[in-house]
Amino acid sequence: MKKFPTLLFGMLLCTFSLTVGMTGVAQNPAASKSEAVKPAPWAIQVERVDSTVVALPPEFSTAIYEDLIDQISKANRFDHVFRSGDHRAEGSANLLTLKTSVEKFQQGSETTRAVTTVGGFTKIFVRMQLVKKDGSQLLDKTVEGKIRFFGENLKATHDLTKGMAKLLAQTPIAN
Amino acid sequence: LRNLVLMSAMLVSGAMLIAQDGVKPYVSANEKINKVVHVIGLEGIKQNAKGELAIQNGTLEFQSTGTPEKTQGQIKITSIEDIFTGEDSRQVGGTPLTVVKLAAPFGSGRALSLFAHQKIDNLTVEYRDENNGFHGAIFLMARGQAALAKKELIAQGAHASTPISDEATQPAGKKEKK
Repeated sequence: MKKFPTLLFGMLLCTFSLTVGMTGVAQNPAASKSEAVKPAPWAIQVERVDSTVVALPPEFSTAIYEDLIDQISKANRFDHVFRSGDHRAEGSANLLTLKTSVEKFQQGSETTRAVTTVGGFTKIFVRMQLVKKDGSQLLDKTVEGKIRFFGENLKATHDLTKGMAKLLAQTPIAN
Repeated sequence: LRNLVLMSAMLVSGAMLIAQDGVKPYVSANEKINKVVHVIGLEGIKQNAKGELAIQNGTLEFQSTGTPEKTQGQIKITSIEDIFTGEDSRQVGGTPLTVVKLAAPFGSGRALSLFAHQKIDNLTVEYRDENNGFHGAIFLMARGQAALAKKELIAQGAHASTPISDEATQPAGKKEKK
């Protein structure tokens, strides 16, 4: 008879500790997430895509530029995202400059991709450099964007900018 | 086997009808350009929004259609630094055709792709905002219309590094017959 209240008490204690534990687990990622998305006191200026070495159709360089600005703004890593030529960037003390240049480009065909499985791929290789105002380099890497099976050629630029934004987010920026 | 041939013929003719639907004949640049897709770049307009493009009163104006909220984006023609036109192809028929292609027997769906693609024009406009920030906007439209739009923009004061090609003065249909 004595065992029943002890068992009930034990079960209640277990339920309580489990609930507290789960609440803690649920709250912790939220707290760390809010810390992660807090923008750094750095501003970034995105320069135009340099396609002087490898000829890139204008729609591709425009799509890369606009999508990159979109992705960086959404990532909320920087205090402000300036476009190339924006006068306001000159007054920013902690300014980083992102330079991009096309290293390789292969324009495919959406029709060929849809009809065959072995051709028509669109591929873009872009070198991205993140530079401080004093000229020191924080990042210098080449990123690839591709579209292999279904979809329009311009979607390769989205694949590329996603990779570029991810790389930017992972780059440590020290004062 | 007869049923299979009949089904394939129906699928191909259906795809051809869908593909033809998107092709528009010659449209004057003074009119609004219909069935335009805003790919990216215009402030306040969603990517891949469908709508119409108008060049009037010193602005290039895109108005989205078909959505509950009609949005509008503008570019001052005098702020345009460069204009480019290009050609591409895209699949027509959307999801229904993709489903038909996947369901078609013995991989015959792939053959449908040949008929379900149409040539389209793209118009890339590079411009500066009030802070001198660089912007680029891309629009997709029916074949032959991008060159007309470029011609009209230049006539209204936009800058362009490359001259307008002769194709701007000819309807797309006539060029194909040559």
